[in-house]
Amino acid sequence: MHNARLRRFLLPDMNRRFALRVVFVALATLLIFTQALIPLRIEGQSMEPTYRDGGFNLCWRWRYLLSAPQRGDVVAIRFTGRRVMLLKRVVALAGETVAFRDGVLLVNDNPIKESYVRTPSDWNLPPRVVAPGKVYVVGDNRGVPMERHHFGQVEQERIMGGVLWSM
Amino acid sequence: MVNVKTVAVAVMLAFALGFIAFRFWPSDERAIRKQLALIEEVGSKEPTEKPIQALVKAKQLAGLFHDPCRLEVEAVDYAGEYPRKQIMDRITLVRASYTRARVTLHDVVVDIPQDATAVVHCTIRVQGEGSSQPVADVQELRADLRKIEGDWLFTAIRLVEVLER
Repeated sequence: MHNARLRRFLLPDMNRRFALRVVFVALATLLIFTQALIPLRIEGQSMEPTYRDGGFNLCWRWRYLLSAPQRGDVVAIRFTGRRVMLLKRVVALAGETVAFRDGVLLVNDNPIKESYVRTPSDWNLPPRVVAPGKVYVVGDNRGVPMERHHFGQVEQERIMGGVLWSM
Repeated sequence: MVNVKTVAVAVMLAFALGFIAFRFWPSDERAIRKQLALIEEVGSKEPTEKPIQALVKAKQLAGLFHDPCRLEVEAVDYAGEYPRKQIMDRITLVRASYTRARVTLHDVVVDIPQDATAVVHCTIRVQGEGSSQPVADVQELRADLRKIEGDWLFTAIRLVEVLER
């Protein structure tokens, strides 16, 4: 009985019902992985050590459907489309003042403890106010020179979603 | 009498021909995409590339630009017009700074609002190696093109600022 079930599961009859099941599973997979969970292959070191170069993750598209991104969230930011995205951490929200002093992140002039930053940093950036409708994002790897790091304020509409898990 | 099998084969053949016609029929969009593919091909560099090949490629790339071409870099609030010769010199210089480079364009959207003018939106990615260090950059690009004597040439290029420091 058990064996017959297993056999039917592993070697199903090629009938109409099976063909429909295959089509349904294929469509559901396509829908899920294009509209809800976008596969991400991580390239680059800007989010190390939280996300390693060569790693894999999923972008949860509906993460910000009902709520806005919060400080500390790791988000995927799109360019023209979603074939190439940036993975960054939100460090300040609209209306807040953000700055770096000797590598320390200051939000509204208060130093922020960032447990995810493991590399020593010497970044200095004068204070600036995050514009309405935007958030300020930075990578976790502050060991690279500031000039070579993509960071800054970004329109919220460019945020494609949140990353599903961290290492 | 025509049987079902013959009809099915005829329908499939018609679909295949329709697809081929749709895919390969010459159009302005196809011509523009060809220019973009050329940027990817000629912009990339192998470590074995010889100086003469580099010059030929720089000339080929510069040939895609209108003389002069407007360049805007939003991040540094810069805008200026460059003659083709200067563009070619700049391309030669930038390519020489890499030992290996791979240029790719992603999410390309071609819009042709009027006859002989087009707007392209895309993401440009450069990965390579310069003086034994890996180099990687990604930018959002907006380009204006005009059809001049049958060729689509870039008349303006803007690097869009996605992250504003």
